[in-house]
Amino acid sequence: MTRREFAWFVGPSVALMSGLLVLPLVLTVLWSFQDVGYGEFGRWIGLSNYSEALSSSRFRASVVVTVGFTIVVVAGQIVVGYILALMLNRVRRGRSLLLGMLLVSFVVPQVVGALVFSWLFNDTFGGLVNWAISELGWQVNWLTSPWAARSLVVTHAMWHAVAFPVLIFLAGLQTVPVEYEEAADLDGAKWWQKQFFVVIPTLSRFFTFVALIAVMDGLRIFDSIRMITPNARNVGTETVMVYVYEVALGESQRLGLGSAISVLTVVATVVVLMPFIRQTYKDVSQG
Amino acid sequence: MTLADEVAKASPQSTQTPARGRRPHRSRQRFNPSTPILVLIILASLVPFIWAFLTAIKPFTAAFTSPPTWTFDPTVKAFSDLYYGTEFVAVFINTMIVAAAAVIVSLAIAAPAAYGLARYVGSIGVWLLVLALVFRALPRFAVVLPFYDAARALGLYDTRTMLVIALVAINQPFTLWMLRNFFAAIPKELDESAMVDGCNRFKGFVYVILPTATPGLMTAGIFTFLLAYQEYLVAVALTQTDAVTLPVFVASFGTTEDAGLYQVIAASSIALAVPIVLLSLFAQRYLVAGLTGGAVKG
Repeated sequence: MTRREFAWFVGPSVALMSGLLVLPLVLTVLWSFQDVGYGEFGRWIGLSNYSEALSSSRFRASVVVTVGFTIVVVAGQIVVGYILALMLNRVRRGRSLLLGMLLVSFVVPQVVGALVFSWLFNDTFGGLVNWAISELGWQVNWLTSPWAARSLVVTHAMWHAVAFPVLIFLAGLQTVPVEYEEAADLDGAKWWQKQFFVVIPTLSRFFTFVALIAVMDGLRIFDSIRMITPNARNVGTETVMVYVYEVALGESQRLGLGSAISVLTVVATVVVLMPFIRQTYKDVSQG
Repeated sequence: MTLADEVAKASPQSTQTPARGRRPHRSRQRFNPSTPILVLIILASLVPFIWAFLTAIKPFTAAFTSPPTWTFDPTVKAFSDLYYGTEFVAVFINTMIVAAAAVIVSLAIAAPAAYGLARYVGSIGVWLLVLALVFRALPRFAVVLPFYDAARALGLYDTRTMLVIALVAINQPFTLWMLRNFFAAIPKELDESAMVDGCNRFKGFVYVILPTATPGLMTAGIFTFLLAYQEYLVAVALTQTDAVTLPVFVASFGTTEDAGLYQVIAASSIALAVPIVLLSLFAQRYLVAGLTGGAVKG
């Protein structure tokens, strides 16, 4: 394909992304240095927004919550997703029906899934899970005590998204040559030895891929936090995205401060994903 | 070969045909104790929806009791209240229009670009793909605040047009990557033979490549639809009343203090879930192909 033809093919898409992704990002960066409201010209205030954000204990708390949430969910998705994929891989008949059911919580909009999920833990709505564990003699205030609320949010994230790692690992398991396992069998390897020394190393790229997507989605978690813990700040589940929403669109409409926090999250995301970005660059340029 | 291609090749769907060939030997397979556990886990994952459905069809006095009421006379009152007493139908139609428009515009813009990126070997193409990947990973807020500001300034706040524009733009990197991987899987020889037969690049793309890529376009279309149907943050930031979509409607409704509405909310959750779950069941093949082959998930 010639350069000229290429320009014609990608032109509209590049125009769209320049105007509606790159330009807004540039604007966000500019606003982050300003004291500015919606529909007005801002006043340049240098790094004040950044120093305000970084010295705010609320912001720091939201960073800790976000990072902690991401680490736990990434680990959980890898472990649970892999185990479910191993189980599903042994099912011959009815596999696509099981996959279909697994995908239900994944395709329903996250806010709505989070809402019906939270009802199981809410006494106002009968709280099915609360009732079940009270039968066992326990009682947990899921929505008011911080650690219970945090574990609820993590559990929801697992429930919502685990279908994705399952699909990826299931795809991965098909690529492990039968000969590898047969060779390990001949050497007298036990099941767990085959898993840890043969299968899992063969699937390393699939694990990387799942981790990458989970990190990306974990760092920008918003929908489910808003629905499960509407008073996120008080129960200690406020993530960075929820905080930005409150600052910039909710209670205070502070565009400058909200933009500064956005820029910080953009930088953090790019830094975290740098190895993958470089790998993709290499892969694509080799064709 | 990118990771995405590698993952795509291994799509579970593609392995089902060989599995069929092994069927006569199945009797040799031992009973697997993990299967019932798996089935139980998957059924348990449906409990929140089953519970919401039961809540919606119970009489009011039985809906929120603890311990739960298991025997009751089902009623459709919550669904009829939803239909007659709320904006649900209007919001549903609005969501469908927005999602359909987002699909058409997204594909029309992304398909040629993705083809170009799959075929062009210059370094600009590589940079564009990497840039798209970065934008795919960024949090929505990196661009949503300017959208909100511009929408207000241009009088586009709370309109379908603005919502479609925002959805197309935000999902463009994802659509681009997904389609690019599908086009890259089509042999270059097909382009060449089309050109030998007298097509130029554009004709070859329209008459030969696009028809060949139909499954890929279907997959990308289904994902764009799903992303538009699911989107909450962008929709809640850019709409208020007129252009509200289902997730925003149910979410705003879902935080009400009015106990009389709780069953209607349960009904609305079910009414919103059913179409998208049906779509995902009928289009499961495309959904799985897209998830495993799309490199960048929405």
